Amino acid sequence: MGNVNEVLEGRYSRQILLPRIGVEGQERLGQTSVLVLGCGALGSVMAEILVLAGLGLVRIVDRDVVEPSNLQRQALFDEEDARLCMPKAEAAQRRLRLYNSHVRIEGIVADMNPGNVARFLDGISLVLDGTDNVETRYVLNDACLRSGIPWVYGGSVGTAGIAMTVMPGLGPCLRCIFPDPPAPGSLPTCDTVGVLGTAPHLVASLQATEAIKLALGDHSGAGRLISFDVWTATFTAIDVKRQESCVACGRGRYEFLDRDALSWVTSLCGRNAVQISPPRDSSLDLSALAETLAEVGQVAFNGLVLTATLEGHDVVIFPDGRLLVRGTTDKTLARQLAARYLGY
Amino acid sequence: MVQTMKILINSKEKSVPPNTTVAALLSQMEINARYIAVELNGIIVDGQELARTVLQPGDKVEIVRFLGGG
Ligand SMILES: [Zn+2]
Repeated sequence: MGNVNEVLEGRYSRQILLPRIGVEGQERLGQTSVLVLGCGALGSVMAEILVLAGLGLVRIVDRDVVEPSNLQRQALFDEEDARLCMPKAEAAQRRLRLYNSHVRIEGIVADMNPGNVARFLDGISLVLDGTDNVETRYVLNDACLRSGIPWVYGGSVGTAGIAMTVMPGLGPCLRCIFPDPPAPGSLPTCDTVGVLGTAPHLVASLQATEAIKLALGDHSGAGRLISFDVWTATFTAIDVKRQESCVACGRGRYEFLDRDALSWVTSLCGRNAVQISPPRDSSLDLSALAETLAEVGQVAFNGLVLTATLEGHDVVIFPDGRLLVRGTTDKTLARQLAARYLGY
Repeated sequence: MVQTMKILINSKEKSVPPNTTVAALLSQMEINARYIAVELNGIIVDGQELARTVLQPGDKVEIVRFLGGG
């Protein structure tokens, strides 16, 4: 085994040289399991950094497929992934396994919701937020507080970015700062105002740094809210205090976990798409479904996800039973399609 | 004579009339208070306190927006 260690010490020698890490710190990294929730601009950068840095397990959960508009800033994916509508979690897993074979990498194609979040947190020491919408972050905040798992919030739109570590029991949580989620449609999103690749890259770098610090037992980032604009080169760091009146961490009420997970309809924040999740954890036989749907519409199955044109609407169907209707924000229409073709 | 006082908003100096509340400052800047956090001299101002919190000369105000993209 000495040989293996020598190889690894060579591989990680530059970060082992850092007094804050050292051989012992590197070993701790190798024993740390992280969940990267969402594999867009933030998630793909964080996953890459942590896989290269030699974490023990990097679990990546993402619900989407690679689209051409991702390629401007998400360097983990390529044109072939977009052409094949590859699920991001799967594409990321394949790529990252080539980057570092010493790290366990789990790509899971799924949409995190109150009903399944506990499953993704199982065995995880810390969570990195790479989600692309408001609601999911509040679910994550509640789930992590309840399980006592630290998580690192990150967000980016336009040329702006923000990041903060939430350390349950030690520092403030997301709801200490933003007590209630902004209403859907009230915030600018990457799809309405655009995003420069460097802004999410910087957020993701800060988040990944926090992950490495947390893995090494350094909690100094808890409650330090960093916000910046890469274009004007303005950076602010505020030390936020925990609010005793906070509904979540102060009073221990996890409202976002109590919500009915049954009819989980999400209009994807500015994405001009609506997603319908199945009533409960399920798995679809997509190749059989492809045959059925071929009778009524144009269907393509790449072995991982099924894309089809049904009644003139572009849909993507995932093995976990989710239906994504593109080119609409009409939830009723999406529900109708789900009911007609998937039976829920 | 119109009096003003100086405060710092996100590290930039700004002049406002005396007795300006945080809520009035936000509405003057056309910022919807629901989607931001305001920190005054290092402490987050509770949403319900924005209209009751009167700014003093030299106050340091940080306004942080929720960013949902990722
Ligand atoms: Zn809190």
